Amino acid sequence: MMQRREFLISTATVTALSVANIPVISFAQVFRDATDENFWNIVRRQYDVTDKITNLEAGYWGIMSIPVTQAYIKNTHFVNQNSSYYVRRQYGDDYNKIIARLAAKLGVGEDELVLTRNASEALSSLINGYSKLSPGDTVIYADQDYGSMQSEMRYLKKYRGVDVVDITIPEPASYQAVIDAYKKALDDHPKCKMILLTHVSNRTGIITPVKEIAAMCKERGVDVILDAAHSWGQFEFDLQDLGVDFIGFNMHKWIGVPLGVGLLYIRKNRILDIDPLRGEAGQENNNIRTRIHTGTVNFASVLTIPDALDFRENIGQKNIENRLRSLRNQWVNPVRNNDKVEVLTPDDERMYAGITSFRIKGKGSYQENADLMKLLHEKYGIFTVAIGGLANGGGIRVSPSLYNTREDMDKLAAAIKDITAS
Amino acid sequence: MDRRDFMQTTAALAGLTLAGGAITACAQESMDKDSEAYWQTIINQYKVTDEFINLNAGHWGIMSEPVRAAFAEHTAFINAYSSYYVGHGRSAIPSARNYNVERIEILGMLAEKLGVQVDELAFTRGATESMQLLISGYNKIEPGDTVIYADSAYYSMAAEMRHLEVYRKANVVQLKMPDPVEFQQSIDLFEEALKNNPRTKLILLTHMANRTGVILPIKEIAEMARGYGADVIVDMAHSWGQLDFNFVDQGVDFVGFNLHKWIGAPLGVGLMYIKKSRMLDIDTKSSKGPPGNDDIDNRVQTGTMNLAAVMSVRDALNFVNNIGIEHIDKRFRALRHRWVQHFVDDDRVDILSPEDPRMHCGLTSFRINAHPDPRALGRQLLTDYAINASAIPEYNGIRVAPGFYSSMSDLDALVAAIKEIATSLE
Repeated sequence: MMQRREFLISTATVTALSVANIPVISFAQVFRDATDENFWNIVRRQYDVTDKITNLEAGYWGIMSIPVTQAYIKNTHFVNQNSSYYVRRQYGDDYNKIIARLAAKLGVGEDELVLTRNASEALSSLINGYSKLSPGDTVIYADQDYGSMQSEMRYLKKYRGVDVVDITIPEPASYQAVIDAYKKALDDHPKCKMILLTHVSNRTGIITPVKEIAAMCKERGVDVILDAAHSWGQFEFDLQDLGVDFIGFNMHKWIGVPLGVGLLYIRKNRILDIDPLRGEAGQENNNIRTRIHTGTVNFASVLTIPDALDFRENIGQKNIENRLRSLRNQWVNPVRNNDKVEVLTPDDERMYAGITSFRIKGKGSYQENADLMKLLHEKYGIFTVAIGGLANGGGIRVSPSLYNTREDMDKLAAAIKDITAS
Repeated sequence: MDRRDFMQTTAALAGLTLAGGAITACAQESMDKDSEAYWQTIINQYKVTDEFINLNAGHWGIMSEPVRAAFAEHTAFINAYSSYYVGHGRSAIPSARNYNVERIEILGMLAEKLGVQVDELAFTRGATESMQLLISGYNKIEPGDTVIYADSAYYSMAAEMRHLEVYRKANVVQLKMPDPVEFQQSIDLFEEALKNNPRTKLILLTHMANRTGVILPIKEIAEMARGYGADVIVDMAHSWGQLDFNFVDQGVDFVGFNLHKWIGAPLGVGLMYIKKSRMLDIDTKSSKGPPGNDDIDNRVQTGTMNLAAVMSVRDALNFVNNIGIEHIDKRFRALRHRWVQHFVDDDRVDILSPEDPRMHCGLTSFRINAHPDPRALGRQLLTDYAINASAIPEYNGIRVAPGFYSSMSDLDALVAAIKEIATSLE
C-alpha cells in the first residue's frame, strides 16, 4: 500500500493539472495575420474532424482540439481510477484553482463565479432566481434571444406575476438601431425591472451593444441578465466594461472544453438578488455556489478547463477573433452584393465575429430554411443549421471555427451563388 | 477520415486496447457467476488505484475498462463529427449514425431492463436532476395539502420537498425514520403519518437510503399510500443496478435513477421514469412547449449535455447485463456479509441496516459506539488503514459501499481495522 506522500506525487504525474506534455503547439503571444494560411494550417491540424462534411455548425458546440481531447481522456482515467477518494479530498482545491484562473482571465473576483453544466443552466438560475420582481413589474426580451431563455422569461409571468414584453431587433440591424430599439422599449415600459440581453445572438450572430444598453438600463434602475453563451472565446471584450451584474457563459462552445461545462457570474454585491437553489443549505447567504445545484458532475470535464485555456492562450484570443472574422468575411463578401440574399449581420466590426446567418430573400419560413439546410448538406456537403424564431423570418446560420479553411468558406459562397442562380 | 480510419485514430488517441476485455468475456461464459473465480475476472476489468481500498462506490461507480475505452471512443467520435452527428434531429444520409437514433436505442435497452415503455423514460444528468424535476414538477398539490418525507431521504431531495411549502403552499411533514428500523415498522411509519394528515398528496420514498443502505418496502408503502389517495415519488439512485428487484412490480409512477452509480456509466448521466398515464401530473419545463402534452422529453431541459456519456450507457449496460443482476445482487450481499457477520453480535459496533434480507443489499453503514467523531474515524481509516469510506455524521457512522471491483480481502481489511479501533477505545 502506497503512503500518502507517494499518492500525492503519483497524483501530480497523472492529473491533468500538470500539463507538461500537453501543448503540442506553443506560439508566442504575437500578432498572427488572419490570412497567414501556413500558421492557421498548423492550428487546423490540432483538430481531428471528419472529412465527410464541411462542418460550419460550430455554434452548437466547439470541437475539442487534439491536446484537449487527450487531456480529457487522461483526466477521465484519473478520476475513474481515484474516484471519490480524489474528489472528496482534492477536487475542491483543484476546482478553486480553476475558478481563480477563470476569475483572473475575466477580471472578476473568485467569489463571483461558479461552474455550471452549460449556459442554459447558468441563465435559468439567473432568470428564475432573480428575486427583485413584484407582480405588475415588466421584463423585456427580444426575438434574437435564445429560445429556451425566451421561454424562461415568459415563465416569469406565471412564476412572478410580471408582464413579459417581447421586442423585435430591427433588420437590417445597425449599432444605433439596436440601441434605439432597446431605448424605445425602456421608454414604453417604465415599470421594467429586468431585461435579457444576448451578447451574440445564436440566431443571427449579431453582437449586441451591451455596454450602451446596460448604461441606459442602469440610469433607469433596470437590471440586465446577459446571455454570453456565444461571445466569450469568440471575440475579446472587457467584462467590467460591459457594466452587467448577471452573466451566463458557455465553456464548451468557443472555449473548447469538453461538453457539459458552463459558467455563472454574479457581481459580488448582487448575489443576494438571486435566490439560492433548493438543495443548497441556508437561504440568507451570499455564496454564489449556492445558486447552482448540480448533484455529481463529470469532474474530468472540469479538470480539462486549464488545457482548453492553455490551447487558446497559445494561439492568442485576438488572433482567434481576427481569424473567425476573416473566415466570416470570406463567404459574406462575395454574397453581400447578391440581391437575392440577406446577410443578417451588418459589416460593422463591432457587430459580428465568426457567426453570421443569411436568408434567401422571401424564404423566411422554418420549413424553407430546413429544406435549404438539407440542400446544402446533401448537394454541397456543407453542414449548417436552419434557424427560426426571428420576427422577420428565419435563415441559415453559418458558424466557422479554427478547423475550417478559407476553401470551406469559398465552397459555401459558391453554393449560395449556385442556389440563388437557379 | 472514414469510419475505419476513425476507429484506428481513436484507438491510438485513447491509448487503450479492448482486446483484453474481449478475451476475458469468452472465458467467463462457462464460469459459475457466483464464484470467486468469476468475480476475479470482473475485478480484473477495473483499473483502480492500489494506493488505498475504495469502499466508497456509493459516491459514484468506477467505470470498467471496456466502458472507459468505449467512452474515450465515443468522445473522440462525437468530437470529430460534432453537431453533424446530432443532425439537428434529422440525418440526411440514412446510413449515417445519428445521436437521436442511438439515444432512443439506448433508452430502449433501459426500458427493456426496467420492463417499461421507451416513451416513459428520459435521460437526465443524474438522479438529483430527475428527482428535482419530479418533485418540483408534481402538480397535484393544492395549497394546504400535505407532502411527506422521512429524514433518511437524500438531503437535496429533502430540500426539494421543503421547497414545496413556498412553491405549492404545501404543508410539509418530515418523519423520523427509526434507527434501527424493521420492515413492518417502516410501512407503519408512513401509514400513521397518512392517518394524521388526511390531505396528503405526495410521499417521497428513498428505495435505498444513501447514508445507511436501508431498503424500504417500496411496493408495500406505495400500495398502502394509494389507499389514502397519495402518490409516491421514488428515489432509486442507489438501488437499481445493485439490488435485484422487479421494477414494474413495485407499482410506482414517478422514479429517479442514476446511471453513473451502479450501472457504471460515465459521470453525469441519470434517468427519469414517468408512467405514461401519469405524464400530465408532472409539469412541462418552462422552456419546453405548452402544458398539456404528454411527451416526457418536455419535462427535462438539460441544454447541451455530455453526449458521449449518454452513448456509453449502452456499453455500461452490456457490461452489467453480461454479469446479470441476480449475480450482482448476490455478490454485493456476499461482500456485505463478509464484514458485517463479525459485528452482528459485537456490542461495540452497530450495523445500520437490518439483517432482514429484504432491507439491505451491499451498501451498509456502521458506527463504533465509543467513537465520538465519524469524520475523525473516516480520516483514521484512511490514514492508518488506507481504507476510503464516507463518514455519515447524521448517524455518527461510516458508510461502507463496496463496488464491482472490491475483493473479499478488501472487506477483511475493514474488519481488522474496525476491530482494532474498537478495541483501542475499550
